[in-house]
Amino acid sequence: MRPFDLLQPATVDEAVALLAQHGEDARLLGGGAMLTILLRQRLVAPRYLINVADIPGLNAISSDHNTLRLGAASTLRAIERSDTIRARCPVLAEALRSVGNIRVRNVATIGGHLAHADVHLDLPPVLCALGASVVVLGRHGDRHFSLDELFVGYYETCLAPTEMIAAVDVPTPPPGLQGVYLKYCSLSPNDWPTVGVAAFLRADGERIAEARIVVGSVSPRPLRLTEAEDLLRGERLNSGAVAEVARRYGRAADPLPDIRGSEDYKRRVTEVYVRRAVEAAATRAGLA
Amino acid sequence: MSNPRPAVIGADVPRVEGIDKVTGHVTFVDNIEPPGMLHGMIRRSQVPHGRIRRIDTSRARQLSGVYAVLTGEDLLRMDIDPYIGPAFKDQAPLAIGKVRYAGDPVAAVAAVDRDTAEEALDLIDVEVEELPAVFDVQDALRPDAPLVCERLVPAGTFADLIELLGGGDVPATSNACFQYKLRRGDVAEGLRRSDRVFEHTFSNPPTQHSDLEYHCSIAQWEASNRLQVWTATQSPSYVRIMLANMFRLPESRVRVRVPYLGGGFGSKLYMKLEPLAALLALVAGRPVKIRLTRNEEFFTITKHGLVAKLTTGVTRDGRLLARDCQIMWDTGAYADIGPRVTHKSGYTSAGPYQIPNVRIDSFSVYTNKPPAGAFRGFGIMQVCWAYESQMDIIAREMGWDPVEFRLKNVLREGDVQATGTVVHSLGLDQCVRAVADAVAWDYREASAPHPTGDGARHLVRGKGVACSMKAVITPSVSAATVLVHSDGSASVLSSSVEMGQGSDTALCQIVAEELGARLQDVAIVHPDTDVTPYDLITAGSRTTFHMGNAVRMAAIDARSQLWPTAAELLDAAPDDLTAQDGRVWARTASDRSLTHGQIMMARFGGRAGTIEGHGLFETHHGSTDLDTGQSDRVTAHWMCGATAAEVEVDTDTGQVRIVNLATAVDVGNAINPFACRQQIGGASVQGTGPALLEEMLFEAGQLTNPSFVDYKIPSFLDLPDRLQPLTVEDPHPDGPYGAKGIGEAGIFAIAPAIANAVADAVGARIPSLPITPEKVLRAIAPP
Ligand SMILES: Cc1cc2nc3c(=O)[nH]c(=O)nc-3n(C[C@H](O)[C@H](O)[C@H](O)COP(=O)(O)OP(=O)(O)OC[C@H]3O[C@@H](n4cnc5c(N)ncnc54)[C@H](O)[C@@H]3O)c2cc1C
Repeated sequence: MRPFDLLQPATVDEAVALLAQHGEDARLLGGGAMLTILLRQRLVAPRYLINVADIPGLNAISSDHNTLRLGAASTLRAIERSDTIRARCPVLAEALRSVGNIRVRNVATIGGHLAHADVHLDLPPVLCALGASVVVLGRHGDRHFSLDELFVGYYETCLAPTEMIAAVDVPTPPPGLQGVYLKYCSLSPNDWPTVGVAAFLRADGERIAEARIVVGSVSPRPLRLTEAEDLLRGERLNSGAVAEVARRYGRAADPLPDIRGSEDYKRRVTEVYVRRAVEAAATRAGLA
Repeated sequence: MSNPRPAVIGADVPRVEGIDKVTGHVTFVDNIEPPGMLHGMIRRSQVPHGRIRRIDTSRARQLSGVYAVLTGEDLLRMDIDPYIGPAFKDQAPLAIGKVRYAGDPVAAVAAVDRDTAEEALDLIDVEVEELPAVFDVQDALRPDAPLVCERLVPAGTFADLIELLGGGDVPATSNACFQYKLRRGDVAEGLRRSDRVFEHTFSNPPTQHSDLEYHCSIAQWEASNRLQVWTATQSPSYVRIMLANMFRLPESRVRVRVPYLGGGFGSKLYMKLEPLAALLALVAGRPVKIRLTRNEEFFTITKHGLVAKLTTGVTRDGRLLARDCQIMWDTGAYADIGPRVTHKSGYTSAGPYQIPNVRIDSFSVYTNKPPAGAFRGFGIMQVCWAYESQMDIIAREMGWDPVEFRLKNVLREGDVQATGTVVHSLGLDQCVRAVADAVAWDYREASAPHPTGDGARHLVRGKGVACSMKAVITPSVSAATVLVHSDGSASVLSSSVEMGQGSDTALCQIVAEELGARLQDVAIVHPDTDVTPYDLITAGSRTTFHMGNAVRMAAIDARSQLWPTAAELLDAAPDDLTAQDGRVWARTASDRSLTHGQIMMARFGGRAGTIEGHGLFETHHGSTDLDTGQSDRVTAHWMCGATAAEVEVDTDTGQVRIVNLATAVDVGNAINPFACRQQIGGASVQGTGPALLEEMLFEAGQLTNPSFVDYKIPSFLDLPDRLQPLTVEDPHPDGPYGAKGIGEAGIFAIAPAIANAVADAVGARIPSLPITPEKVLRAIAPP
């Protein structure tokens, strides 16, 4: 590991100023769970680390009627255990339980999690399905991006090197929206997902009023097929339609082959897990 | 006062070092830091096979904080024998002339800290001319395959590698560096007379030992040309001998010490980092520590990959008539102990069965991959994977109950094994029955899906069984000393290494038992070759049997020196004495007793003196016919175990979950039943890794998953729902109190038992490890 200076800004403005000052020589430090690995493998070698995890107030979890706001320095464990999250976004808390392990969740931050933009992350599918956005600070002032805009490709976000994520906003889910996050690990269950599916359904009587299905880990960005979702809207739950939706996701998946499975295998389990997730969401929404 | 049940032997005493370990009070090699110590690091080849053209170290040498930089060329200029390797002298601490795998060490640096050393490594320019390479054992055996190693120079180190002893230094003509041959009966005739003949090929990839502690060695030269080494090794006696050879020193001038090991599993056998640490220390004039990273572990030693083709003939009445085994072991770029793995596992490659006609040809083959060496079981896991997979295929195709089929053919007392050696004390039949009972074995002839109770259609269950046996390494030598101190407490001097297996506890129990001492008054002196006597290796399940006998003899020797004094004081005949819990008394007058301290006091007339007891245990190999492998005694004893697994398969994804895993091992007589169950349980869980998860993946000779992010070992979440470690006791007349070695037998049959259960559940046979969900899904629902 190359030696570096650890900078401790007291406010986000200071952090952004330090970023502007040091440019490419600096790197933001969240929980450091991922960054220390990159440093040790010497994949990155910054001269300065700007620690945002300890900026006072940046780890706040707050809410108003419309929105839940997660400060970028909130740890995954704090979000998982927050009563507000458990009440308003139980699926997020559920999904968090399968992220890494308790030691990782105790240090990893939501800002670092999203900025890392690994396609194998568990939270992007859930947050995308919930319509979350990020608040970004930088030279150009405040910007807001939907997660759809944030993720550009493998390990790539739309952030400029001088920008930081300050918060994640999650709109309050409409009443009746019920969902699940199903994570499939083809090797040890103690692993990153081979495929992760977030599925949310809202019932209107016996019919599906709304469907949101986002799949992680099998394409350069979280995979959402609104046309496939539309096949369910206005319908009663029927296995034929669910199977068709699942097939479409399987076909649209564009996974990288690795030790967890070939492309073909990952497509097949994407189909299986989309089907299972929609079925499970339907049960929760009182549709099955 | 008689002693119906020995006091300490057979008791579930807790680990003697247990509390210190869990509270972080024990020392590992990496905790040791002699004053002025430097850190050594290694530059590795990126090319799998190539001629070294030039290595420029000038810029690295100029970096401040760097004390030594070495290359293979430098070794040739030193007054040493640079070649190491327990079977062949084919490996130098740094590659000389050629690199043979991506990861082969080519240069090393010693510097004030790891950051500086790492920076220096980056400043070394390595120029290698690439050569054609070979990565697959079958390709490696083709006549036109590039030769990985050009000369075969037998190391002549071990008495048990009979075939190598007479061998000379010869140019290699193929990548097969060693062949094991066994011939019994007439296989061609046996197959011809069989009612059915089955032919299958099975394989498994190279895998990792994954011990928690990385390889770590420290070397320090003293002014008087004396070499001190602290090292994480399973073979301190061997390391001393080999370092003495390398530096042309008397053994008495090489001191090797081993504190606790954080796991070994065979990865820390023979020489690993010790020579390089000693060389760097010599050049730097300061002590040097080399500690690997997890990444480097992947490039240091592996468990052999294997391809095995079995042809087996059976009779209609369920007997094995003939078996032919053609086996190729992928030993990687350097043989390490590969030939011995090939040899020892060769004995039982046809399985633990009574088969009149057997032919075994087993080859140790070089490829341009990281070297393969010893792994828990010494090859038995791999051969068992093949023969127990095939046993199940045969049983199911013939409509036989797999348990009955095995019980009909397993070796029993007095049977002649394939090597010609008679079987004694083999509780295999009992092991198979024990595990079948433990999973409520219920054979159904038709391989219909067995749905689970909860009604989920995509989940089906199945059960499988497998069993295995192994010969203990023979001949071998273990020596020990027991010191009784002036207060009557005792020290046990042994070169057996405590690496988590619990040997300190077992050895203390044996000494406490023989002296009649309290367990807490007996302490172990860890391997220190200046002090502790010779022991072959801590491996091959040999410590309790061999070192157990040695320390028992040493304790009896010490006791026999103490008891005349005690007899005099108690006015009794020495034969009449007995002892327990630190007190000695005459059976005929149990109202009077003495402590060991009182006896010592009387013997030496004050708080003074030492009593020294010595023990030496040796086993012998019978003579062997080199053409047929037949011998009246290939082993001092046999070990065996059996596993039954119940699995649940998700037929949509192919994922396998282990519902129930029962493994029984014949322990002879359990010196510590709790520790036995821990060994068997640990081996079982470790065995599920290569069965379901583990595989070193290569692309054009480059390892693509050298970290635990992409190389998965079992975690707590992977544990079977139910884990049943079981013991069977068929005492061995030569074992201490009848005990046998059990460190490995629990792992032998895990993978085939799981594969057989998967086949039972979904009718799909996976012939190559690991049994990944993708392979299972492809087998039950091809894309
Ligand atoms: C052993 C292990 C197992 C894991 N398993 C899983 C898993 O199963 N599922 C899963 O989803 N994730 C997993 N993760 C990843 C984890 O969830 C986090 O995504 C990861 O640790 C990054 O969070 P961090 O706070 O540690 O970020 P850091 O390591 O501090 O930073 C990561 C990157 O983000 C940048 N960064 C940090 N903060 C900000 C910010 N506020 N604005 C902009 N850029 C920023 C850094 O410069 C760096 O490039 C695992 C991680 C580890 C180490």
